[in-house]
Amino acid sequence: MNALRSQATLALATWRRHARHAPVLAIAVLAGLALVALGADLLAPYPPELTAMAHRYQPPFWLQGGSAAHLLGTDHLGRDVLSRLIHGARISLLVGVAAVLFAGICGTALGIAAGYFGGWFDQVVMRLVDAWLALPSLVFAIFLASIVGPSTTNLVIILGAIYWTRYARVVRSEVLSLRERDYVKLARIAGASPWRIMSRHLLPNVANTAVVLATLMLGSVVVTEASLSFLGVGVPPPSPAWGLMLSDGRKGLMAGYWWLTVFPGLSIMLLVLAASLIGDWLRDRLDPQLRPVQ
Amino acid sequence: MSLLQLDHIAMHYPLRRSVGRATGTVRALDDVSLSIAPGESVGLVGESGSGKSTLARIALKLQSPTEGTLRFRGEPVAERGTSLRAFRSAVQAVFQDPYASLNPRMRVGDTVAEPLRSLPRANRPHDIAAQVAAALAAVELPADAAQCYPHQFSGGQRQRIAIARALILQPALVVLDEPISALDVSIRAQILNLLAELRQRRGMAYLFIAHDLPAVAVISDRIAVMYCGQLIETGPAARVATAPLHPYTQMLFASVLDPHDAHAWERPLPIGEPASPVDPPSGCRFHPRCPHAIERCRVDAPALRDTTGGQIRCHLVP
Amino acid sequence: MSALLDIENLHVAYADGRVPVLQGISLQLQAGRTLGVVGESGSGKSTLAQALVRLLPAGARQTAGRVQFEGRDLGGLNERAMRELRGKAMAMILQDPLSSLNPLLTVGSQIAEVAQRHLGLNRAQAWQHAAELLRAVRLAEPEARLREYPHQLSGGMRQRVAGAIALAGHPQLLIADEPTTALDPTVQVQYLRLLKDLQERHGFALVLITHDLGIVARLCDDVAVMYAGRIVERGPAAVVFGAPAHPYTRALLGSLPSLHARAGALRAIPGQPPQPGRLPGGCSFHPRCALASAQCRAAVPPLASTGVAATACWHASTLLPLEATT
Repeated sequence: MNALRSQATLALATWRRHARHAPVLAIAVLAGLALVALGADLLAPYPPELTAMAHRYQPPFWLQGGSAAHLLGTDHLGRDVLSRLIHGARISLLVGVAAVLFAGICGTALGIAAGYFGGWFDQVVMRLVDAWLALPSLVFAIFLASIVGPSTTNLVIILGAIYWTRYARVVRSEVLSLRERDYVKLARIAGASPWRIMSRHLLPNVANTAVVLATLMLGSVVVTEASLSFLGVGVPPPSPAWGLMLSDGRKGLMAGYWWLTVFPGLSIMLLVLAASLIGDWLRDRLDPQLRPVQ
Repeated sequence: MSLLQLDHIAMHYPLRRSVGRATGTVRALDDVSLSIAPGESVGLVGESGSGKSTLARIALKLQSPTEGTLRFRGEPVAERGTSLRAFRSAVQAVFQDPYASLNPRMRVGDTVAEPLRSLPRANRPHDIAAQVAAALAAVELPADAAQCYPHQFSGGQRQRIAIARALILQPALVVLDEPISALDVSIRAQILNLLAELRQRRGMAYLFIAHDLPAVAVISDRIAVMYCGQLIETGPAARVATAPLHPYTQMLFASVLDPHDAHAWERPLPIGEPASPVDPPSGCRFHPRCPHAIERCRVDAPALRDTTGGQIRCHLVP
Repeated sequence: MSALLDIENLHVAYADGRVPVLQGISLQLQAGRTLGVVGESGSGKSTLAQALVRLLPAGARQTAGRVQFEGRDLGGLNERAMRELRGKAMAMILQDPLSSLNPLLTVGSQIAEVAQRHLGLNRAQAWQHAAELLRAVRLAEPEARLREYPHQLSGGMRQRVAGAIALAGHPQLLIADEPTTALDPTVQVQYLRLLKDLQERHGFALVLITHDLGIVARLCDDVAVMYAGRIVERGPAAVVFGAPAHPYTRALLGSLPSLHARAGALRAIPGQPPQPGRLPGGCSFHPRCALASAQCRAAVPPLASTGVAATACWHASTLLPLEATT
């Protein structure tokens, strides 16, 4: 058993070596945003919808005319930009994660089934995916949103409905090759039912790919949500969604009130960048499995 | 009554060069009939293109033949239902690659228990853990191996785990497709001994497929030789290994380089490469490489005939 | 006459020098002779091949010792000088014929490339040379083959093409790492005969690395048996196979099934070969050896000469001759 234990130690050492190259900053940023989103009520100095017409268009505190009462300034209705940013983080992450989960669950399930069963079911699903993907996602989203009406729940469903196709396609192609692995064939020989094979053998082995895809997709989903909100068909006002802040802030841009667009824009960029970097690192780390040195 | 009977199995694939029309067929298997008696060990040998792996897949009902039938204990096996379940409980497999045979994300104990857990609820035993421990003990692995993951084991140990899984349903037949060729030379003998001992103790039948001819000779009662999709010779293992009748079998066994055999190098050299089932030669498929070929061999495909101690597909052997 | 290849106390380690893979390898090879290197996984035999041409994988380093080729110390050569040697004076054939050849280039252009680079031939001359080489490796219709792509050839044919590429630069030393493991038995035997015939005709020295004892016994003049990164036995093939001195060699030979075997269990070796970095103390074979004693567990036995051969075992002098196995 010493051999077994030392093999496990070697595997752990391999993991640690990979972990050393983790994008610490990206993880810190994402973790930070998550904490901010969770503690929004405690962290934000003001309620995000609190208007104060007397203090409209106040610049950030380091510029002339700014004050420490509103660190990042106020918008056209006198609402505190910092508070709205903090609450906006909650919305963006909530919608983003929910949409990714929804898309992921549906897409993975359909992808596994299509890949394993093949035949007409596979054909139908894949043609559906092809058709879906052929539509420009933003236009399609706007179309759907205009039908069902703006609300946060509807937004999550719409985003999920758009992004499940990417999951389905990637997971299906991975299942096509996994299906030929010896241990899957041996499970069939052992009499395992298709359900058992899909849940015990295929799902855990596509989990890696699904997780990587989820992190990479988080960025896209957040950008789409922001775009939709910007266009007015996403999260409904007066919600402090970053996209909405961008849209509102447009009016002030000409007048030089740059802080109304720059800060929400930077926040979106930060979230997307962090998610993408983590997704890349996960893909590198999770793909070569914890194999002992041969 | 035979345990497993393959009758006139043919497996043809259409070959598509470009989009649409098929431009030929791959005759992976042609008129192959083989039967395995209870407790008998049949060795199947052949080179690339012989079709032995395809035959193994058909015997395991992983694939349906284009022609021919598979009978288990005299009855054909249905595509689903009780008939198939009974077949699956009685016919198990061990494959070549010990690194691909085990799900890397499942504990060894769960992998070995899987055949039991796949049984319908009514037939499922209550002492699964005990049976897993017994199976691991039978392959000389400690019981606590059940808690570990495959990557913690060496190739030879993984193959033992795969064997334990194959045994747990007490099968009547185990199909072994190159079970030792991916293992280190110094442990092949261990696994061969284990397989031989398990078979003797449990009275199982084996279909042992390998290109390691001495290993096949040692573990088999009977050897069947395949060439280019056809069965060309069968007979008792000792006879086929030491006094083969078919010119191809002679060529094949003469290619074995035994370190103790001083005359191995002096035997006549084989010529050519194994024929491809995509475009098999006319008449006897071996005739282009056969040192004894006559005109008739080019024109007339020989049938598989009974001869003393087996079968042979050759015009020249009485 | 000085040796063509002289390896002296070679040590190679992976993971930037922390995991030893080869320890104290000393070998000599005369011009025109054949050396068989036998070993299993973890023995380091492929690492030895890579170390000779200085193509060790990333993270692997030579930590001690010296490799001399034609009297020159290879360690002292820069990468440019090594490239002059590789493919010309030193050539290699690898196990997998499919990945040895570039799938996007024709067979002819891959052989011609070597001839152009190392022999300075122009394109037309190089193609002519390529056709001759394909004839030399007994490939049917050589001119037609030149224009074909690797995927159009069978495994045996591809391996012959690999042989042609190796010969293109008129090598003095050919290293073949498991050249026939992926081939069918009837093809394997023809290929090995081809290698021997080519060697007789062109006079190069051949290092044949394999796990197959039968091949080494029939083809090689000398053999080195490797286990866990060390040479455990070395000498003329006839001596090592006729009267093996090391328990590992004896056990390995005794465990092989034979076509003429009697019924009954094979004489199996218990345990499994150790992986690099996880070697048992003392003699690496002691956990599996019937003769293991306290001395074996404590200290690594040196490779000691026993006349024409050498063996690394504390009990070498006490071993009785093997009884006949057939």
